[in-house]
Amino acid sequence: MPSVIEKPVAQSSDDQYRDAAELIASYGHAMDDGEIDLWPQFFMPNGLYLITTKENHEAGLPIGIMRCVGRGMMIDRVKAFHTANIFEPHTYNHIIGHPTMSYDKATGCVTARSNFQVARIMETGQMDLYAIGKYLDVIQEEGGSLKFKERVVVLDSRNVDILLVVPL
Amino acid sequence: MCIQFTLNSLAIRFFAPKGVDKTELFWIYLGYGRDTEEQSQMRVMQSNLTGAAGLVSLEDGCINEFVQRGTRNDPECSSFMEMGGGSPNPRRTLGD
Repeated sequence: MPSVIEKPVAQSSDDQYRDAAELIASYGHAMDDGEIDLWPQFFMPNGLYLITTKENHEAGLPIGIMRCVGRGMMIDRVKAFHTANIFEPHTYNHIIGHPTMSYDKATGCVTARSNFQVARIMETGQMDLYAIGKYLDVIQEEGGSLKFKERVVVLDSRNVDILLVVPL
Repeated sequence: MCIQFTLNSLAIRFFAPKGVDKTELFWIYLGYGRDTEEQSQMRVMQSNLTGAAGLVSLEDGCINEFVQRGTRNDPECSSFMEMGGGSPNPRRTLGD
């Protein structure tokens, strides 16, 4: 697990913002390092992960590209990645912009938006700009660490090259 | 165009040529006007199985890419793929 998740619970909203930014960065680094097994643990047990397109998101259409409701579905995705899916090996490199955040005292949740660009690197060394969009996050504390209650990945780049198997 | 009916989800896929070496696959998922909220949610969940990055269907883009890579090498040639039916194909069954 990334070290940030073991830190003591933050008290002020400044601490919450710092830890939320740390969570967002750690997530990107874990994906870039191929730590897909860690992926479900970044979420609350009933967390939502949705990849959708800007067009669908703005039209309020519920179906996107990938949807996981709860860690169980995320663990299924990881298992499929290891044992069932067929794809060319590749890695990601996330560039994530500085997040804008707000803190809701009533729910204790941080709402964050950050822009990202993801490059995909194939085994040949060929690199392509693969996805551009924004993360819309609702982040909550669970068991002394911050987790995603919701992570909606809105793609500006609607056109996904070949396939999407590793979560963004 | 491909009409897809899997489980209870009705979808349409368009396979749109974008040039000699590019195609784009569009996925359109349909709900029903008479669906209850619960039924709509079930169809939305099923999209995780048979949608654009569905657990069952995510390789579809990859397979098309492999076929396209294979065909672009010989633009002047024709080929066909035979899928069975050319010779007897004895198969063991539960009764054997």
